[in-house]
Amino acid sequence: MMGCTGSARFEPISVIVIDDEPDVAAYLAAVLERHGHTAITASTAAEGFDLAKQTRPDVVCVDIVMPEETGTALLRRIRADRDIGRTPVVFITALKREMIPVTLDADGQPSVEPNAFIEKPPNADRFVDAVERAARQARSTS
Amino acid sequence: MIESWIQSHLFEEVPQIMAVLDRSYSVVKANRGFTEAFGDWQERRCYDVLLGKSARCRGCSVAQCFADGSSRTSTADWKDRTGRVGHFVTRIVPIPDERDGVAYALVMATDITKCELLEREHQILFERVPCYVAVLDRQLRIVRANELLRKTFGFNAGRPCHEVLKGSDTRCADCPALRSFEDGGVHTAGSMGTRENGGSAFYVVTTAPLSRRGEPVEHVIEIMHDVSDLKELQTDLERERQFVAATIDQSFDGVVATNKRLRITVFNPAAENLLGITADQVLGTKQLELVYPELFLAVLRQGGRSCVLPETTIRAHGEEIPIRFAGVVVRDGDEMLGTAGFLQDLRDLKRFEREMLDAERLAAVGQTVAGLAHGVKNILTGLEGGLYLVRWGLEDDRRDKLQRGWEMLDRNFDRITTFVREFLNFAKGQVPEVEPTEPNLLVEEVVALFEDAARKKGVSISTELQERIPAANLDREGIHKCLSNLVSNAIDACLLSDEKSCQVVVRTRDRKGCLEFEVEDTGCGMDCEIKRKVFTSFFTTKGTKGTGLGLLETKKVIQEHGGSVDIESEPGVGSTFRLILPRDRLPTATVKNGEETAGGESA
Repeated sequence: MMGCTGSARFEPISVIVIDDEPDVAAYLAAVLERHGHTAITASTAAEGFDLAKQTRPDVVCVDIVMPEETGTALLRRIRADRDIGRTPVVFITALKREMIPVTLDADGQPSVEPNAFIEKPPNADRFVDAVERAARQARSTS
Repeated sequence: MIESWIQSHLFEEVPQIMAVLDRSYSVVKANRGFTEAFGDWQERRCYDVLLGKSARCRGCSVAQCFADGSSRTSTADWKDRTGRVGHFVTRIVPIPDERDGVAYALVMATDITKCELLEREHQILFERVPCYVAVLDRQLRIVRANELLRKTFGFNAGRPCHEVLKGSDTRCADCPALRSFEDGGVHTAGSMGTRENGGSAFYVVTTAPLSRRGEPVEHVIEIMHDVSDLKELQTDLERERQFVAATIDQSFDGVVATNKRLRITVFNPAAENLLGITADQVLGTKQLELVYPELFLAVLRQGGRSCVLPETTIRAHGEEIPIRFAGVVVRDGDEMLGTAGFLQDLRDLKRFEREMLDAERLAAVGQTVAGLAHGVKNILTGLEGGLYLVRWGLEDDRRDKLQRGWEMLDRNFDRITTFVREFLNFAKGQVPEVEPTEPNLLVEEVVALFEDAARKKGVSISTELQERIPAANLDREGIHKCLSNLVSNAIDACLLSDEKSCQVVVRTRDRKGCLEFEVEDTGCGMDCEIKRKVFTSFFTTKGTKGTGLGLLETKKVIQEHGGSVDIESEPGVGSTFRLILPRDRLPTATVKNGEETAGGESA
């Protein structure tokens, strides 16, 4: 685990980026790629969930406001899943954090906290930092 | 000559009853009047002829005359030949014999039955007539007064009329009794007196001279008809009238009324303000076209009873003023008594509605700001992504990254340009320019636009249009855009559906005073979350294909028409979007070529 050098100060990780905006997904994937990580993109929560089940990524980055299934719904689904329930989830959203319980958990379901929360537009370094930290935390607790 | 005529004729011709009785009370001679009244008298006693009795009367005046030889006057009740008892005044005169005794008695009598009856009638009339009656002398002193006058005013004979009736020392100005004394004519006047109990009495007095024509008038009869009750009613009526007049004067609504000849009799200040004409200009005239809407005039012409126009216009100040109007034709059976109209100025209400609409629109804009931020942030992220890739491409000399980054920048600049333009359009806010538009034609135009494209995508579009829907004041372009938005959404919803063949149906309806457009699809439908958000943000389920403004814009246009948008949707079943436009809230059409087009439907 130790001894990483260069731009990848962190051991390469695999990430799934889910956003209904293809450009946003492509941007985040490019940032991760440039930092030596691998990223695959999905444009819906359902597609992302399937990919996660198949590839068991280190981190899932997901937008919140998406047609059909939202990011919060996906987070609940992942947490409830036996195989990928402990995968760190990072929210990348244009919403303010305080709006989330009000806007998206109005159906009475308990709010599930993500491992990190990044507001759009994200700062590239801070985004990579948050993803790497989430992965590190997950590994240290496993 | 005269002497001999008197001797031979007088006895027969005098207008009196005359008979001569001998000392045995037998009638020995009688004149024609006697015979006519009592019939056969020869060889009969007076008590037999006059009373049908067989014995002399007690206290007989004739007996007394025979006894003392003096004349006497008295009265008697006798029964005539028909059996009627009459009252007579009698004069009995002795006829002497040669020895200074009384040989016969002459009985003269006058029938006063009728006079007595008349006198009694007069007395009853005088006393009992339901008027005050008094007889005055030349000093205006009351000589006689009837019971009602005595009771009402108290009465001491000999006091002057003005003292008794009014408690006044001086004669009344324009006293009708004085005029009757002067000119011998009949006069009438109205007057007010004071009852003994202190209350006022209003009466109409008529005076007439009690004298024969040509002779000086010594007495005047005064007949006074008490009209206090009538006066009280008049006073009440006047108060009532003043109350109604004050109410009408102070009313915020214009009030207009006419009499049965359709001359304007009421035109209150609110009507003056509203219509910009003064009461002086219309009162007493028949210029109904200035004060009543044409529809009410038509009701009048057709003999209708009433007319309520929740929203109409009337021309004043050189413009069409929106009003609510209620008109009524007042009738008593078949007889028309007049008309009344109530005009409520709707200008403030309309202004208020417009302000409400603006407020709603601003609220919608406010709600949208969060959505706007969301949309903009996504585009910004896209731009940032583009920059990131361009920088990467330049730094590491990676043409592929440069190329991708440039494309991303290009795409997102386009997006933000469109976005800002549409938002400005939305936020601009405008009063829709409406014109009478056939709803069904509009739907057909929109459907024709989409038909081909939809068919190619496997979606069928059909219409179900209610027949003969009247034209309505619509912003043609705006509603066209709304319908296009809804139809385009419906087609997209069909494409997202798992079903192989989907339908879109566009309907029109005109019911309960509302014009309705309905777009129904059997597409993917929406869950609660999406339904909640469709109007409140720049929400789109179409990824980068939509700005999320279509439905928001639809709602805005419909709100500007005073209408609302209704959604029914179920995931997997489909959605129905309904545009509901109450006709009475539609904007008024702009005047073209001086020709007015009515607002909503009027009843």
